[in-house]
Amino acid sequence: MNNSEGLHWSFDYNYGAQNPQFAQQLVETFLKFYAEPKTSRTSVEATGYVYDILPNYWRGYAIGGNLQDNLSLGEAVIKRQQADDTRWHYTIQYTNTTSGEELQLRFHTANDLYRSLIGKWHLQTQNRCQDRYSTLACEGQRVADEIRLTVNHAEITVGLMQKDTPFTCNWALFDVIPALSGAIQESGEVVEMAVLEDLEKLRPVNRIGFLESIKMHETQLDGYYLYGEGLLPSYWWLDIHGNVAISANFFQTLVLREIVGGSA
Amino acid sequence: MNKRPNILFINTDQQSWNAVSAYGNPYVHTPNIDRLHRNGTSFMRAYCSDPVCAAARSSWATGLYTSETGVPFNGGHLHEEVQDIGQTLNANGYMAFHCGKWHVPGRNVRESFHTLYYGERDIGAGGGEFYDSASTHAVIDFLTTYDGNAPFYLQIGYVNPHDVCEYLHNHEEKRVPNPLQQGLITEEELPPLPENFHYDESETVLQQVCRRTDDALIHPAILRGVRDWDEFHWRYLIWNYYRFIEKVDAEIGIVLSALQQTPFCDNTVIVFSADHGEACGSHQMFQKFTLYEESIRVPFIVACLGNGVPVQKNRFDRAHFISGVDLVPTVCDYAGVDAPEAMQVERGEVPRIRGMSVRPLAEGDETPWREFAYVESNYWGRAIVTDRYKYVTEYKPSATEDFRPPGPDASRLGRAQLFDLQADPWETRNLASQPRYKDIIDSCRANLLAHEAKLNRWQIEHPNPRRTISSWGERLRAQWEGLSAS
Repeated sequence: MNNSEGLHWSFDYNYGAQNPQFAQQLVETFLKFYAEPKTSRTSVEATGYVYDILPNYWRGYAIGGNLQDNLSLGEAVIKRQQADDTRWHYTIQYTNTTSGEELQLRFHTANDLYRSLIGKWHLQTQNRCQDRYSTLACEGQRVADEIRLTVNHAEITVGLMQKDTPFTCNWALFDVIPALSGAIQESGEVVEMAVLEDLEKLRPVNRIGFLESIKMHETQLDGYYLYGEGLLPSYWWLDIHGNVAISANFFQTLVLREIVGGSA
Repeated sequence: MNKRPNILFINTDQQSWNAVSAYGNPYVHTPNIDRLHRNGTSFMRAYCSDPVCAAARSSWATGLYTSETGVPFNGGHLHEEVQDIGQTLNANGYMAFHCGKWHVPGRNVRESFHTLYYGERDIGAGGGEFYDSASTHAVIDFLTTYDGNAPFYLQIGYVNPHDVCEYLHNHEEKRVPNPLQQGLITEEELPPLPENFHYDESETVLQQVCRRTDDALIHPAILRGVRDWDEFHWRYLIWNYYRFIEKVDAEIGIVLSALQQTPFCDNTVIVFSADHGEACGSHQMFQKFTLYEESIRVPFIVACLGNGVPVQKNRFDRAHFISGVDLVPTVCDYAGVDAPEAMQVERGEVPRIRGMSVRPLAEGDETPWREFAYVESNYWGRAIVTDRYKYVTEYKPSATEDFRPPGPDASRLGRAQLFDLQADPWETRNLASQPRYKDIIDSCRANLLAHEAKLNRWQIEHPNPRRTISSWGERLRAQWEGLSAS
């Protein structure tokens, strides 16, 4: 994973385990985690997508040579269902064993290519730290060009939108990128979008483009990138079925482990 | 509502003073730090006490220089007799809260502060990607629910942009992609190569042994990796660094917006700073651990979003030298609390706080002030920054290490660099060998020695820092012996 022959630079080697065995271990781990599902992303029946969160950043997880067999830092479960002809409903469950943070995100999108956020959305956190903070609930909405959150009755403006820019939650990109992939790859153009990260941090200027196609272990992966202000570059690899198999930035990698529902 | 102000200390990690869009940097967008500037005074000559996390943070916590705290580098151990700001404020009518990164080895943050959030896995040096968002959640929950029965001091330690360290570690032994060639970014988006990309080869021996040689004491694997970099790679590092800053700026924005909606807004003074900077390609250097400006100079803003705390707004202060040791006296001044008194303990007098309260300056008042900044680095390194010049030097390791941080001892001073910061703000021309600058160097050296004569440098007793001092000292002695032989 630590060279151009592997998946990519963004899912690879990291600090604290600087030895050849580490790369091998990570490759094996990847293959262990990756489900190679046969279900197409575009299948309406497929309702749940489970991703393992693996560290690209290893420091702190291998102190004293105590490598764990299970590299997972947690998981992200993306559930989405078509509510009616015009809307999709998403529920995201994100668990991180480093921060102790569990996020539950609930939101609706339009039934369009961009999965545009509509209506009110909800963010609920829980944290397993030993400190004073344990939970937080936010409700958000777009009011004209403003993105607002309500927390404990306080209404907070967290960003300003440009009027005509497509706008979605970062977790909906697991549908948006596959949906746009064909057009992006054919045209060579980028798609510009605003992204509301975890339903609370507005990244108003981003672009999605085609990266490259690679072959690894008899699997073809088509890569796409997401670059933007306030975002770490991230790389999205679609398997031959159109599922986001890997989403990675330099720090962490989400690897598709399971699809719930759907058919070949 | 309490008359004594609430105090919010927001800190980022590894942010250079010039990585703020309000200060004219077109390659990074920091609307929320800019908002702090509009609501306060930006001190443009602010220096950390020591350009590495734990050391600089030990000064924030105590008001002492790092040769006094017991934490002269990341593996130090805070002297247990030294009082920290949490203990001081909690004993004097404040509720002192901590959230996020602490990184002061030897002191349990949960014993000195009421902790809002310190991670499920305790926050260490890095991990902003995971921790910063949770810190923000903890803070906005606190701000929107706090009962206000006692004034609060809340320090928020954001990890980013420190994650740029992991960007570098990730590229120790592998190719760096070239998104410019791939068409992912454009030439116009990439910041230019720094004007001081090339470096002075007559740097101190300490700097060479720590950062330049093949077997450098600090991050040799990264050093080997970046030697293969071309201009693009360095520029792409800077580009990425700015994305980390934008990430943490967004976190700060949520906190400020939350504060704005609380009853505390008007009566809360905000201090914003960073523990140290990031070299980001200057002098072909990465991370910190050096005494060049990019590594030691940091943002420092005193602000209030309301009008309850008198602060000069939307103003630059380019005259006064601010140090990391000033945080404690500044906080104590706003809190109306006496800074910890010197007291006698078994091994002598507890070091006295050397910092000064920035409050009068933030209010626009004239007050007697220091004439130079003093910075320490890597145990033996020292710098003096005056109105015009910067003097960098080092102590040679002693033949027999006594584990007392060195100084003041003119006989042990090693190599020196002198830069004219007015004529050469990028520190590209070392003037130390030019005879006509002898008086300047003598003056800087006198300042250094006089300043250090006031410091109370206790012997370091903890075995961990002793091991580091021994092994590093051995390498340095060997280097000096080699130089003498040649």
